Amino acid sequence: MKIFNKVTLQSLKKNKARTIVTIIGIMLSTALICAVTTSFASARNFAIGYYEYTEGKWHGLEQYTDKDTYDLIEGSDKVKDTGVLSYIGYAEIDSTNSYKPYLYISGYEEDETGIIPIHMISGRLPENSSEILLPEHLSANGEVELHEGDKLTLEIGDRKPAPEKAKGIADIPEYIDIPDEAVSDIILTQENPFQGFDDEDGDAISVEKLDVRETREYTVVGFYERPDFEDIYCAGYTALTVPDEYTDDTMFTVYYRMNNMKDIYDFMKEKKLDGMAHSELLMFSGVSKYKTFYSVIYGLAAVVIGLIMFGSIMLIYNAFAISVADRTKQFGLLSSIGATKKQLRKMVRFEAISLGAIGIPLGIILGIVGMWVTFLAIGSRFSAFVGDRYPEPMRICISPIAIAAACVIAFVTIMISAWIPSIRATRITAVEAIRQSKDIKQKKHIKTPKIIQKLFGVSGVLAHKYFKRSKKKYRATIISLFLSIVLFISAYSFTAYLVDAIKDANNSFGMDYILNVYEPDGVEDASDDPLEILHCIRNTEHITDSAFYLRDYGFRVYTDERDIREDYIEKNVGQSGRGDENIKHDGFRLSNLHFYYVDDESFRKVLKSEGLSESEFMNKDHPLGILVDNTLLFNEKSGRMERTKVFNNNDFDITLLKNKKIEGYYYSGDYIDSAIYVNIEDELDKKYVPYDECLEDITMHIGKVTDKRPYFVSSYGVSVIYPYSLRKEILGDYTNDMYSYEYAINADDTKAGYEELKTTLKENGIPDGEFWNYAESIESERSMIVIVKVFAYGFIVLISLIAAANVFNTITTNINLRRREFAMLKSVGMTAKGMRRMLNYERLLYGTKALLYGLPVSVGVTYLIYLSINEGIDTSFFVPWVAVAVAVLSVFLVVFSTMMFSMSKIKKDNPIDALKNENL
Amino acid sequence: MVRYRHKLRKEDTLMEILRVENLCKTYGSGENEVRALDNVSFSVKKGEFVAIIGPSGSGKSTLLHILGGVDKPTSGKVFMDDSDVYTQNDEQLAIFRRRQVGLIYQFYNLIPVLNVTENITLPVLMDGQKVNEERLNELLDILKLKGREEHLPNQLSGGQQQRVSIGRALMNAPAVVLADEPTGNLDSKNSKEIVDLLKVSNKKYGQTLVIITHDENIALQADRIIAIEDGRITRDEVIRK
Repeated sequence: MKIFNKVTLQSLKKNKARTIVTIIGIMLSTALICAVTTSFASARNFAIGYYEYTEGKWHGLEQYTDKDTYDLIEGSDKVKDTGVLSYIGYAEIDSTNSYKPYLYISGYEEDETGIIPIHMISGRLPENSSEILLPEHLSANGEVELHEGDKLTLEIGDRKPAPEKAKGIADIPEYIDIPDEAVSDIILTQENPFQGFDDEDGDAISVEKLDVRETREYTVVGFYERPDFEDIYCAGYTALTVPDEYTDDTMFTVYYRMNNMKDIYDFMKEKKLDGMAHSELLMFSGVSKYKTFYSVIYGLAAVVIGLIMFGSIMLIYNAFAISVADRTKQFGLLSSIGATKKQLRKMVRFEAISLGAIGIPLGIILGIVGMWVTFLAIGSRFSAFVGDRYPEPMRICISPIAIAAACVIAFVTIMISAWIPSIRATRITAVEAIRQSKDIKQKKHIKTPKIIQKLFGVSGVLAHKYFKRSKKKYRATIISLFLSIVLFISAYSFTAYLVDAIKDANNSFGMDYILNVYEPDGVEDASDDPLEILHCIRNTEHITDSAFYLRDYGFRVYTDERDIREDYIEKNVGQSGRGDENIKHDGFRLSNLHFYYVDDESFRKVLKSEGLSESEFMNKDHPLGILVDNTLLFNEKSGRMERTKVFNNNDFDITLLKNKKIEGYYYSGDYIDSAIYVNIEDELDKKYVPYDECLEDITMHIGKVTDKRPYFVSSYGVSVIYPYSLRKEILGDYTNDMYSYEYAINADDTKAGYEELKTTLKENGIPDGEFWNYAESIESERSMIVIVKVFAYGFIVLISLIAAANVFNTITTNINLRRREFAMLKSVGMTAKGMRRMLNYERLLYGTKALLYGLPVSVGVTYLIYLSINEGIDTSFFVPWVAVAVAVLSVFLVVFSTMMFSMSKIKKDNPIDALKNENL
Repeated sequence: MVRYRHKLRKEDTLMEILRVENLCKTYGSGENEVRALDNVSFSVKKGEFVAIIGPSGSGKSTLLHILGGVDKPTSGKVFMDDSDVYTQNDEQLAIFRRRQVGLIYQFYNLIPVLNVTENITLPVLMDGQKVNEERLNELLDILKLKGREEHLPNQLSGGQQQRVSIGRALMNAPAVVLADEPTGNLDSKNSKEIVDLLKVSNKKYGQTLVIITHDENIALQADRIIAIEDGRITRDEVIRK
């Protein structure tokens, strides 16, 4: 009925503030839902982009196949485009990588760019069969320096096994496939690694040969990124050129795209193709074979959306409940005039639809804009998840399905929210509504505590009595506040615990790069002065800090049991035990100890940060170490990572057991109660020396136990730090038995710093083979943390805004409904001060009650989150006090400002008019 | 004092528009039970103008609300145009209220967001019917609301608002118009005007009218007075034929 719709719309216009706030609530809920659906669509889009970029846009692939198969695929009308790599041959190239001594020359053609993942770095694609495109890792990996325009003469042929080369060699590794001479004419392809291995002198032995067919000259026209289709073990660097005419003998790798990708599996079956489908691309594109994958994705989305819907329904429902409460008399009157229950229910639902018609589109726009801004800010971080192999950031994908889904879900949310209020609108009988006899039902006398009278006077007494009599009206506000508090603090806790767990589980180092210079046992210090290298590193642009250290691993370390914490002993008896029963040594045995002999400058920095004296700790006669006792250890008993403190003392000695040196032999391992020493010259000459003859004690002094971990120290296991200059004084004959020599380096710009450092190392002849960009590898962890934080805090903020909107609605309506009461109080002489007191007490009531329920429940939920995370990794329970403080402040702020707003309107009321006004 | 007749005479059922039989309404239970109406029976002829009088708390408003289908009796029957009102379901009752009854309240009870025309035609619009413009114009004329068709209730005086309320009650030409203290909130001049309007509707259009009032002067203008006290009819007197 149009008249009912008009009444509804006019009522909405009349209560502008509440209408606007309800629309805002709907908008925010819709925005949240839209953000979820859009995020999933965008992530899917990103995944598709990633796979298309790195692996190519193909749907199907036939490797090393013949011309018939190629023609079969090319000729099919179901196939849209193809790309082909055709075998031309191998040519030897002067590569320093002995396991990749060839250029693999391949013909390259494709109907559409991107089917085969070729990404240009410089130059252009070859245009004829005399031009060649080279991969960039030919220089970085093979150290073959070529440039655009260079002429390259190549002797091209086929790789074949050379069983004759294998004659007389005893220990050929199993992975080398030496066929019988009868079948030695087979052609080896990129699927076959280089048939060679290192002998005992470290020289490479090849058991294959290159059968040269022709000599060709090429002009280098460009370079391209290392291709995804060239595995690490491939024997040749893939160079691309335009193929000559194909013959029946040509070997092809065919990449193809279907007109409809859903046809791929049927096509492969129909044509009896035994190649492979691009499973990841197909999966993300929604091809039906991967129903399970999508059911997981939809399930996850459903959970998140379900949570948002739950919160939204609880809060938006309140808006409609208030509207119905406010229009009780109106509904009653309409009923008395002849409106049916169905018509009244439709009124409420029409209200929901009207508000939704405004709120949902605005919410969709807000959601899209919000996600656009979010991806603009953090979109590039998603690339870190895929090892920076995909240069594109995650961008927003405005999928019509995602938007439609968000609209439908938001609409359903609103209709569910309006359902119960619409039923309630019909439950009020006409006569009750007209008489408003349901207004207050006083069953018994209400006693007001004396303290309220003392603090708030008559005003407080009135507020208290009103509160007790009409609890239902207050309940809605308190429930809204309660839900907001719980959601806010829980979401904050979840983020905080998760971020902590990610950091701990990934066992972060504090440095951006590690340079490892490895020296084998028994060899003197490297002739390069490590401190000189340190100096070069420190002078490199973008490098902010660096430390050099020798790192030793303490497998057998003993200490007085009295220095160890009892709880550590209880937890770890299974692992290290009170001793190894095969070694007779006093004391408690520790494991997982790292010893750092760090450059003196860095050691002094640590001393300074701990407030320790150099003269005490760097005393040649009695050097003292700093022990870092704040580690994560894997406890085999409980099966989890546990944060552990080991020591209960600050000043004690530990005993490191070292295997004595035996001339001409090296220590290679243990056997029951003996150490195994192997003859350096003859591997078969082994000695089994009992522990009591070969183990030597080295006493080491600890001067300080700290839980502050310097950036160069591992977070796994207990670490002891000494100055480099005193290593001989501490270790004596064992000074050179170091596990590894390392440089820990930090930079202000990790990408630029890495490039600069690579140049520095090259210029100074320092090998960079063991140079790790740790910053890049943990970038995914940092990115994960940033992404989790952004999404979680975004969710928190939006939910809080919805809650604030809801609280505003409830409180303003409650006050509006009491206009007559306030007018009456004014008319009998209550002052403005008295009114303020009354409202202050109410504000206190709202806020305190909500917090009284909300805070314990929030702490309970936080505890559940802690238990859940603690299942896998040792975490201490903490209450997110920041969130609690923000929640407390926000509750009172929202309540306070809302009441101020409402009262400012009522202040202007003329008491007589308000009392007289008997219309609705 | 005229004795209250417990049984209806045969001739009274002719041209009968409203009949009430043994109507009871109780609130609460046990010791707290309040009998608002206690076995009330009477009938009203078509075109009759009946005034119901009684002190505060006598059950007048309760009786009116039950007659109007707004409140349900505890026991007893109400017949409107020979059909039992309270055998209908909620939907039928709503339609009954819309078409068969016109309710006028002491405190106007207009919809504040609808203008004069919309408030008057509300029962018709609820029915989804087309408004009879001739009837509407006639009512606006009689009610002296011409020129105020677009006004909202807050732009009208008390008397004007009550006239709108009367217009709403008369729009569908219901079987019975029930008025609960229609002049209770008005000054004497407006009160007289309202009563005159109600009399016009009764005399000119033969509208059956039942009016609750505590004002004896108004009651004496009716054709018949029914007095209620403690939920029972204590007097039922025809004062004008």
